[in-house]
Amino acid sequence: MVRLFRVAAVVTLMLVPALCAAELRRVNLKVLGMD
Amino acid sequence: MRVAVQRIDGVESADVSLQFKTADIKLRPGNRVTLSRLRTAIKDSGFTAREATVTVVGTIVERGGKPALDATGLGTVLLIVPDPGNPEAHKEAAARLASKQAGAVEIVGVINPPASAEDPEQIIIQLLAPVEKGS
Repeated sequence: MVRLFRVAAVVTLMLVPALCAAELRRVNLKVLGMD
Repeated sequence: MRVAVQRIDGVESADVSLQFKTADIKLRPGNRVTLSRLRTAIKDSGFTAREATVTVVGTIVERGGKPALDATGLGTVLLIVPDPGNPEAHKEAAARLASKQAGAVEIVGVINPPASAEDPEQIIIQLLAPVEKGS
């Protein structure tokens, strides 16, 4: 049980940076209706 | 419109140019903001958001034998299509896919509003750079 918990913790630690790394950083939108 | 966009959690700054008719939005590291969320905020302010030039981080994956950008944090996979005026970045993405290079990449490209909800979102790739660890 403890071993399983350790494996789950390691997998979670490996996945978190990968998930956080996927993101928008900057967006430049053309906008209509600003006349 | 600027206030509505700045209220979104994860938005660092929003600058609106009346001259160029654009909204330039910078996002904080670790944000979960989606392009759809930004478009909705602009629409709710009485305007229409059109094409977006974005800087986005994700990993390159395969979709139908072609490179795509898995932006897990955005909950979507963007098909990567070449920019006719600058096909080099697309070639680099295809090469990374072929050589199974893992790791995050930063892509600059253009995303047009989807014609329909069923259409897969596409990014017209202009630049590709690997993301260094810790950046």
